[in-house]
Amino acid sequence: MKEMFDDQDLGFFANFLGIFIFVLVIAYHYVMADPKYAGN
Amino acid sequence: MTNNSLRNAFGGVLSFFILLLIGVLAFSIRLFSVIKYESVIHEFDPYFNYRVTQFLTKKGIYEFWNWFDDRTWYPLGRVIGGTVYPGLTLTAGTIWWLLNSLNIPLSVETVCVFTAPIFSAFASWATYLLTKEVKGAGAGLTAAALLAMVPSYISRSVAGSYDNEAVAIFALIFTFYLYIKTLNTGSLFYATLNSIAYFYMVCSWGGYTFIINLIPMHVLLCIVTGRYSSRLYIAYAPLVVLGTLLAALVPVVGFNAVMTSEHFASFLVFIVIHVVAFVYYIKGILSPKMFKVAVTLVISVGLVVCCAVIAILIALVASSPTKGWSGRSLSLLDPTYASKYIPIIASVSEHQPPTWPSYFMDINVLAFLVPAGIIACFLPLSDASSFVVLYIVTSVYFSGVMVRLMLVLAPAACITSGIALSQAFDVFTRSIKYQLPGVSSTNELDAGETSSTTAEAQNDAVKTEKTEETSKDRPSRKSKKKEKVQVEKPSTKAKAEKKRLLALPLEASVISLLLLIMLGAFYVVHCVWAAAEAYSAPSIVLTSHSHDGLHVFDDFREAYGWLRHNTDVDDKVASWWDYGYQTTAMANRTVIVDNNTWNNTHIATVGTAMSSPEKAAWEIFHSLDVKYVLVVFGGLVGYPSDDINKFLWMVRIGGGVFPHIKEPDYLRDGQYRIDSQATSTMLNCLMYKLSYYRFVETDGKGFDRVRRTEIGKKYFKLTHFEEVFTTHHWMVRIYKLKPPKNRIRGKTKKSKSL
Repeated sequence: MKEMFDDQDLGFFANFLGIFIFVLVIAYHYVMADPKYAGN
Repeated sequence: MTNNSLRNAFGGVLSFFILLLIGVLAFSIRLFSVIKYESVIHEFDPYFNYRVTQFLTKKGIYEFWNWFDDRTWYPLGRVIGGTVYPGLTLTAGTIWWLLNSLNIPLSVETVCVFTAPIFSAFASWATYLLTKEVKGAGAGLTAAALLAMVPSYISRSVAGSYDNEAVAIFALIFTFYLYIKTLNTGSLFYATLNSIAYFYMVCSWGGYTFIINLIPMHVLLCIVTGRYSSRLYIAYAPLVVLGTLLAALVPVVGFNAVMTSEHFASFLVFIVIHVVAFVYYIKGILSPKMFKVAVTLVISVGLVVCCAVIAILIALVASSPTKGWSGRSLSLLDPTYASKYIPIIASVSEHQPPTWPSYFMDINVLAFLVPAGIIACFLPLSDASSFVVLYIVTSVYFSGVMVRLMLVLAPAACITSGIALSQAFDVFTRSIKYQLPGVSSTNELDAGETSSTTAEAQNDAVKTEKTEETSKDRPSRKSKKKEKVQVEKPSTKAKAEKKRLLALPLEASVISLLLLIMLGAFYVVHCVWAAAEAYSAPSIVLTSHSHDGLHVFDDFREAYGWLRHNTDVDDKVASWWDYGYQTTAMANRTVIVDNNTWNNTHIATVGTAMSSPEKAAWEIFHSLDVKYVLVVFGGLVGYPSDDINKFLWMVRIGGGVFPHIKEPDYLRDGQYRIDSQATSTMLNCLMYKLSYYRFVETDGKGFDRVRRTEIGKKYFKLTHFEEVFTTHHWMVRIYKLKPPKNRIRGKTKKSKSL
């Protein structure tokens, strides 16, 4: 049963998803960033 | 404004997608226990909750409310309906019923095992909502992502950990969210929802007292710092009234909602807020001079009345020995209380103070992002951010008292760290976005106007806000950027009318973002490792890795299975209270004491029996109708949490009620030993005998792998007990009480003198 999803696969999936979410959150901040000027 | 609305739309879709992924991550990171072991209920308390849920699904809710359990705490029994927090059971029962009515035939056990991961996804979404109210959507997403993975929360909500905290943490965060929402909007609708969410929290966990003390503290803080407003009143007063009424509906709370000291803070602040509201109202009506006269009059009269009332209250409360606080709450306020007066509370491993490494294990990177977040909450300070600061400070204190309360610290740490990280992301992404070569024309205009310092493409602008934000980041990583920022002179060349873009240099921002991604990666990797290796063990099954592969110790279930199939349904089993829940749930036999530990004397009776010599122990057990005695012994395989290691607590608790059990009798020179140097009381007590009976037959020497010594008394026979079952690895040993000897009428015992 080599195709069974084992704990190593789950670990890889969780790590990948975690870092992907992190990058997406940064992308969200990038999208929503608006310029700030002095004197505001 | 189409640019703005397009950006908001894109941001909305992206945030929805991110939240979905966060839910998936929160669920899947908790599945390690199911993949590595099996879909089974873990530990001890969850077995009780599982048994209660089984009863609920089989018999229905009315039977559940009125259930008197006679299969535990024999012969006292336990009123389940009135002593259990029903939230978890009702939630899982509802999910099971819903799924079954949709023709999805999941078993009760499956629903119970997966309740915690589902609710952790909900908790992440609740954290998003809460942090969004405090500092905006970006902070919300970051905080939610952090909470989905934080090891402290994972430890109590893996698949299989079917305990109150599984749903209670979600209820806690959701209640706080609704409170802050009411505070921000002043809407009575959210105030009512807040009370209902608080009711759900009261149903789920005894930790609801944290909410009903934290929120009044926050209200008091707002009043004292001059932030009283009608929104504060609407956020607080309905919660106290509706919340207390609803809390009193839960049978386990009942009248405690108005009588115990844990709730007095809320009533006191309720009075205070009305007084303050009244003062503001009068101030609005009267002229300043009249107001001054009124104030002096009221204060002089009021002080006298106040002192009288407080004196009466103090006398009333002081007349009760614990001053109206429950034992557990007292031990939170005075950490030494439990060890002095209540050994049962002191003996629970979860009630010990945490060690320093456990902070880095449980909240990892967040440990040093939290101070940055606290500073961010002050810039600017709002009602919501002051609440967050209060929450983190109180939860840090309580987590220092009891390691179990690290769980309450976790959401606070995630929220504050999310705020800090979000601010950092904001600054860097803004710097990158508006300094990319060839971006909007406004940028170039600014660049042309202000680039008097250098001829480079970058903008060099310094603002105190930016320096503060950079100084929040870890010094070792940010030293490069810090030097850069500090070296730049504060720009005196910018004129007031010219718009100057506030941004950090482009390369610095890119590098900082990459470093922050690396920081996040460290956090993710640690969390996944903690979930996989440290917190997935079901503790009903133990594993060890040896040179010939994985070895599985399934002795507990072997013992309970033997009990279930080889004893009568009405036989009573005596063991230390740790195994009570598991015995009733898996072996389906009546037990004497279990993990509820509500009756100290009963536990002390069992402890005394274990500490007494065989005959006295037999008498005690016989008077309790016990048929079988179960002990856990780890000496053959090296399992350290066995009864011999817990024995000193049995002596202490037993000795607390029955003075003839004295702890020094079991110690040699203040040391606890079971080898040849052990005291005779120790070598003759029941626990020693039941653990080491025939142990010398295993290796010829009787070497105890846990205590790392040969046992003192190796060859002995049991006079009042007989061994009926020992599991494969000798981890659980079951003994039967020998029946009392028959008295033959007319014949008396022959004495030697005759």
